[in-house]
Amino acid sequence: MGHPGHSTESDDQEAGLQHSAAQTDHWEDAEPSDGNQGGSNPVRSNPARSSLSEPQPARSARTNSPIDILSLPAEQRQLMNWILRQRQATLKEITDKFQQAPEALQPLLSDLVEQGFLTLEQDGEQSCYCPRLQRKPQRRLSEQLWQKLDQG
Amino acid sequence: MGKIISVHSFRGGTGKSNITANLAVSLARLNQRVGIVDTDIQSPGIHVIFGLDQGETIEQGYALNDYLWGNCAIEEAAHDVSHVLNSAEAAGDGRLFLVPSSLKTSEITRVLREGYDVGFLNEGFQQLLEVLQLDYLLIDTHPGLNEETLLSITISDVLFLILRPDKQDFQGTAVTVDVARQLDVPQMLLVVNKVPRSYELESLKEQVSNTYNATVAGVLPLSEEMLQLASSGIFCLHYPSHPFSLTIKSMVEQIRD
Repeated sequence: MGHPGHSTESDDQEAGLQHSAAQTDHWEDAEPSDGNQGGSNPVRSNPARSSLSEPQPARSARTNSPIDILSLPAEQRQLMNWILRQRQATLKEITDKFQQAPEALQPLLSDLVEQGFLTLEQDGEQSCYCPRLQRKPQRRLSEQLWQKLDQG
Repeated sequence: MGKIISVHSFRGGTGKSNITANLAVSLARLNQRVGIVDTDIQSPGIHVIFGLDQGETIEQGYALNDYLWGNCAIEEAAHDVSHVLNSAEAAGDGRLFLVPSSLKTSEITRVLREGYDVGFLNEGFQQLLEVLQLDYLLIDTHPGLNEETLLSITISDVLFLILRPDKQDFQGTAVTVDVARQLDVPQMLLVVNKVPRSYELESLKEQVSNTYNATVAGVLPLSEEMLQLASSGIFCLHYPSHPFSLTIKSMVEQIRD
């Protein structure tokens, strides 16, 4: 057997949120901040959950796929990874998880909302951050080829 | 809430589906409720190992594709395949469900043509865990890195990365390991499969572990019996004392709570 490929630790892995020590003393649940609300969640809608605001055309029209998460800075990528696993999370849940003050995390989350990775939605009395991912459109093949395949 | 376990490889033909099926059966034999989702929509296959290509065919029921198009709830696409367990085990609490992907040409081409909302997959996985009260949900992925596999890796509690002792596999796995680390997978375990008899297994395990700085959950031998079974059954049920089956058992122990 030849030499296997080498494994490289992600350069920014050590720079992530887990290494921040800022302690959260008190906080409030996520409040929509001006201009940072995303569009409706493409994930099948939870009847108890409603989008907090109308989508902002310039930003919310952008769709991100799971691949785009990899291009985020380490701190935002870790936030996205965790929220994806939870399906949705309040600001309190996020600050509890990452042991950071809400004022430290809020700008990162707002930016994710603005970029279209998250939406801020109402779930009962709570505001929740929800992942918003879509599959990128496929490359286009000739319509004739698709028709041929459909006939098969 | 149950655990999500993804079984992935960078290249095809590594034995993902076989390992997924054997892990699932081994967990169910421990009285666990286990689900499997075949997310290899472009080239599905794990249903064959569970005999869904005979008798009860996928065409007679729903498949993952139907859920993705909104034709059914995902639990309606879950086929109870607990019958593969022997009668004594089936009488216990262990249950086994499989959500297959469709083998219809039109369904496969529709996915290629139209794509689908990957967010549905995440919702569907969670729905399966809740509705079927699963202890474990295993995801048999499409090889390589694409949107669906990245999502599966991201939301997994455990990721099994399968590779063969092959230079191409080794290099591709390095990429996948790097990506999995960026996605903060809580537990990543490497599995070397189809290892020829001439290899010294412990030495290979150590080499792979050192190379990737990751835990090697098992080194599975290339076996004549596996080739003879030819995906027509669950290997660890046919050959419970075989080194392959014993290694699968050891892998299961590593992911149990």
